[in-house]
Amino acid sequence: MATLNKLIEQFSIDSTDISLCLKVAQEYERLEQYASAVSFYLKAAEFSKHDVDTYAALMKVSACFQKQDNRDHTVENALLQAIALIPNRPEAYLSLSQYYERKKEWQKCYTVASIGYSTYENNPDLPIDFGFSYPALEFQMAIAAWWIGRQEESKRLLISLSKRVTDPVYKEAIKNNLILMDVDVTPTVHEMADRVNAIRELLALEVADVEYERFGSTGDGGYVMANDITDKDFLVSFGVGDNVDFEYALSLRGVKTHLYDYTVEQLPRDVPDAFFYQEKIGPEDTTISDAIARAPSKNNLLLKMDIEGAEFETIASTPLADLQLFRQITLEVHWMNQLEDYPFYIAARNAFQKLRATHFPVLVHANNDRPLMVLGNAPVPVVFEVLYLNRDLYKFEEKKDPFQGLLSKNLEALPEMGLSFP
Amino acid sequence: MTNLVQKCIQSGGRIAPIVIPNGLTAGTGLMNPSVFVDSDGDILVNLRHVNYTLYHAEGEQKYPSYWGPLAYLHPEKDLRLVTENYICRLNSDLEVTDYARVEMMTLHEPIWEFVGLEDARLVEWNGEYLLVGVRRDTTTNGQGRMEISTIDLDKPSWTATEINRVRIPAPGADDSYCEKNWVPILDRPFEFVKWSIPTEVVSVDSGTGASETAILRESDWADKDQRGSSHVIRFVQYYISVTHEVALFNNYLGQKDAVYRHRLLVWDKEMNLLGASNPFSFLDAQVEFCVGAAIHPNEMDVLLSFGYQDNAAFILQVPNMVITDLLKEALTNGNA
Repeated sequence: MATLNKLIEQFSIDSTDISLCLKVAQEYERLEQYASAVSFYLKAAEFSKHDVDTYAALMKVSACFQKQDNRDHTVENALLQAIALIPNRPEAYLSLSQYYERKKEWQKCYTVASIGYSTYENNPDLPIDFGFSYPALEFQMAIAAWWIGRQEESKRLLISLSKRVTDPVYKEAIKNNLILMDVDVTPTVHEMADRVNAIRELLALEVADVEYERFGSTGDGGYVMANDITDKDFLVSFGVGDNVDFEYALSLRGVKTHLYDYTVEQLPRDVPDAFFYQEKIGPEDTTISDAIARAPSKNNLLLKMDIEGAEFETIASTPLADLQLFRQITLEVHWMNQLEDYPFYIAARNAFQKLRATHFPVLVHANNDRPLMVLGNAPVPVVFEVLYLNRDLYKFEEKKDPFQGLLSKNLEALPEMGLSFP
Repeated sequence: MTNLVQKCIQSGGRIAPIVIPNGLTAGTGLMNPSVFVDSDGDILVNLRHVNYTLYHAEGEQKYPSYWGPLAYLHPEKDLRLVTENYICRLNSDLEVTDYARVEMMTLHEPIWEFVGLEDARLVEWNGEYLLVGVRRDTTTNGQGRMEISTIDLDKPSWTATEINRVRIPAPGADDSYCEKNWVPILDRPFEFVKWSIPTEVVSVDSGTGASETAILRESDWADKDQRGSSHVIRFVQYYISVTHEVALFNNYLGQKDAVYRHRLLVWDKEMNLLGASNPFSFLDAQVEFCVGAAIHPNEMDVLLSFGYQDNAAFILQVPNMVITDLLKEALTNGNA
């Protein structure tokens, strides 16, 4: 309530400040006081000089009445007003399509979603995030298409969405709808083999002219690195858990460290010259670029990343120029059993591609506390570590495959068997 | 036009929203709170909850509702506008610490669309808590009469129960359509200002509900049609009350609209009207309604409680200097 009090005080000083008006409205909405929120959203809509503010405010008026239930005319009316104001924005079309879906007015649901889908993509941001995505409109079209007799279009849209959507709620809904339609999107053994081979190629090991050393303890407490580590190096360590033996071992070499882990309140033991950030790593949280900015220098950087499945999106959101700054990267890769899921496969492939643009993998070690899967006729560990060395800072041997082009499948219909990973 | 809240904040006053959980209200309107400081020194507020949301498009009214710029949006399958009352206790920071729905007696089946005791002012007379408001659901045509509900407020458990109800016929022929906004004169138990300009004070028999005009000050005051809003309270040697004036009109499509403004009215101790301040709004909305006034426990400031567009409720601590300025303005204006 302290926030609301403060906002009302500020609002009383300048009730023409539309961004303030929206903040008051949002705070009331957060407190589920929808009538109060409506008053301020409507004021913002009427008095704003910026169409995007009015558009967002009208969408919120609709949303508040939706939450109150039994005010259908008002829910619809506010969305129609938003669309009339900015017809080439997609967000209100999505909300309106969802409204017609709730009322089972399928043609309207489909029509409105289709119009929304055809709108201009590069609109300026709204002052309020509605969590909009174009795939959400496609989903509306897919569902409504079924109910208006366009079965094949519905299937086509859902299959296409199943390969792109990562939002877990939509993924589940798409999967369930495809099951109801008797559509099997499980990849064939050939498709899986292609996926595994793509990953294996990206992880093909290079040989560097360097010696290696294990730092830390056995088991989960240590990692193999190139042994050119000195007190000029700085370690960025993502993922701490209950073991900092690796970081401690490097500190004995004079390496200073920044450690990050949002799941623990403090380090399990002191690490000399280390600073701990209780922060989450990810594209919406603390990024690799953020960590680099905090480091004392952009030279001589080392990265350790063990963040339980967030690694692909974290790497995806990191500029190549920042990845390039790390001389060595030791990465723990998780949950490769999900390669059957197309969006997961794409995220993994893209991350490995990106890393290979700046670094070469020199070591892959499977975690033996997780199973070994067979996917697409090849063994794939669920969790494994990869050591990457910077392509520009190490010398790598030229490799030749003496058997290239000489081997042949015994049964053409099935993929070749992979005997190792990678 | 003065935004009273702004003036208060800039003079060291305080504004606080009055909010009770969504689980009780489904997020519909919390409005027209009535503040009262009881004999224990507790700051109490009767908070009116309604089952509708007021939709009021202001300014150029580019975004009216489906039914027009001013609409009471009750559930579309339920035409009633239903009021429930909650008695709240506030702490010295004007935060709600306790709240309880007033459990009303079921004396009749509501037979009109406006259901419940509306805009009830909270008072404590003769050691009893009373809610004094208007009820319109006892006749098929919505005839409104003031009612006094006696409330058993159990503070340790914080429960509120209506234990008696008296309906007040209008003085005289009792043939008016709607009597409402009779505002209690706090230090004159069972006396109410029925009309402000000219001033008519009605005295009510608390047992039978019978009413009679106790004071009628005929005057040549310009008719500003000031309607009762807050309690009438003693402030220094005067009586003061916040009143409201409303412009009701239809747009070119015949759709209704309204603008509310408030003034501070000042009387002497014989209820001779001395002046009216300039009109003001609380928070720059076109629909606001003040239903409570009380002397703050610090005995210097005044507490005013008001509704904002029937959708939000606030309590305002008005610094002594601000209320004094308003009073001076009223006395300077006189009958201007």
